[in-house]
Amino acid sequence: MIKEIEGTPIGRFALRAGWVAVRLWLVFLVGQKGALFFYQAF
Amino acid sequence: MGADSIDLYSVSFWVFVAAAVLILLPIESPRIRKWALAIVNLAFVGFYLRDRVVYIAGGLLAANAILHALRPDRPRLARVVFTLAGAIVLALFLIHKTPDLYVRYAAEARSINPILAIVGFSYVALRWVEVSRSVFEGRSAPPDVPSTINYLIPFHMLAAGPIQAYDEFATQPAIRPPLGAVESLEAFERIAAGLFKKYVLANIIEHLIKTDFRAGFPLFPIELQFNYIWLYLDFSAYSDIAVGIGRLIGAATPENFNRPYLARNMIDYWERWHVSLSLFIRRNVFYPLQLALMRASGGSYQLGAASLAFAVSFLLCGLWHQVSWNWLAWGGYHAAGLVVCNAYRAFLLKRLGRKGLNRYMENRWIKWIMIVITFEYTAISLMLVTGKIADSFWWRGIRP
Repeated sequence: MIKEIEGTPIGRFALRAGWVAVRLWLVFLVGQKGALFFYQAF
Repeated sequence: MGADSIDLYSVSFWVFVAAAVLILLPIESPRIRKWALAIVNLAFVGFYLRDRVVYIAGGLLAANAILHALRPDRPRLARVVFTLAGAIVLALFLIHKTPDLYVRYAAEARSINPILAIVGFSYVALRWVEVSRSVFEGRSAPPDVPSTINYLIPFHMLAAGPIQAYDEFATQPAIRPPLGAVESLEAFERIAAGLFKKYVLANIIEHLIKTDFRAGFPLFPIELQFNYIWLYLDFSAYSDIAVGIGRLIGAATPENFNRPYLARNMIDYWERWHVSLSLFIRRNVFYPLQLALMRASGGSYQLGAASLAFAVSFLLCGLWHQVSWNWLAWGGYHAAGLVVCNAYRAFLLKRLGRKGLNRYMENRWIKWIMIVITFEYTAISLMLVTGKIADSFWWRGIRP
């Protein structure tokens, strides 16, 4: 499915934008909960 | 804002960036755009320094007047002004980078340092060398006031560079092509990558592994590796963010890192790590010195001239980071790596010939062994300037 999405320009754009959003969300999460959040979560 | 250092995690920083993009984006006139960017750059400094921004504004106006005095048609005056201005910048740099010296001899100078710190004066000093040399040597016309501001204190490069070559700044297009969806996404990708590197990856390493070498053995070899990886993530993050913001506001911002952990020797390393600094050193110290030494020796000591130029360049590079014995030792260590690498390359060329050297360079085993050695060599160099080990050297007791 990812390959199909990657096959279209709009799909590629959406995937890249999504990855930007995920990284910014993780940055926000670490800012809120601390750097050891991931370590503690597992 | 009104803080004493630039915090890329603060909401106010990003509100400022958004406002700068919104102000600059619709402007189509090159002249208005140049002035608008200059006002944005000064406003950014003003957010931190409040009323003390007048010192920066005054300094920039003085810098602009000095650049106009470097006229090639009056060479004697230009030489005197060039030397005096260089001496003033050097004095400010020493105040900025030698806290022990000014606290001992002029405590009142302490109030200058927060002002110099906000504009990242060590980078401003290098930009001054670039622009003053370019005008003095007649390669560029003296810049106008907004260009002087935009070159010396670009707000998105204040936190940790990079250092743009003045010749590149002077020839960049006044108005960049309109920002499309893909270009905007690329800019956001760089910013997100930088924030992720610094505030997630580097942050986790800092909390889980880094002890500033206080933990000792058996953590030491692991910390040695991760200390380097942490520095790369943290430092290159600033450059990613600067490049991303630069794309959004239409200000050319040079790349600063190119996967330095894959460098196969020290020369290769300095072509990949803090690239804008190493290009600066090459343009302003290494090449002029190497050329002068070659001329003085009649061209008969090529390797010796290069080695001496490496040594002087990197000792100065160490002192640029901080005027201290540790950073001088760091510079000497890197210079030694560069000299050995250059001599070994000359030895291989003599012994194997051009074709043999190419075969040697293409050998995959040799390549990966050299990558590991270079990685460890640079990781060890950081011990000279980081944490407990850096504090334990015998020379720490010697005051300048």
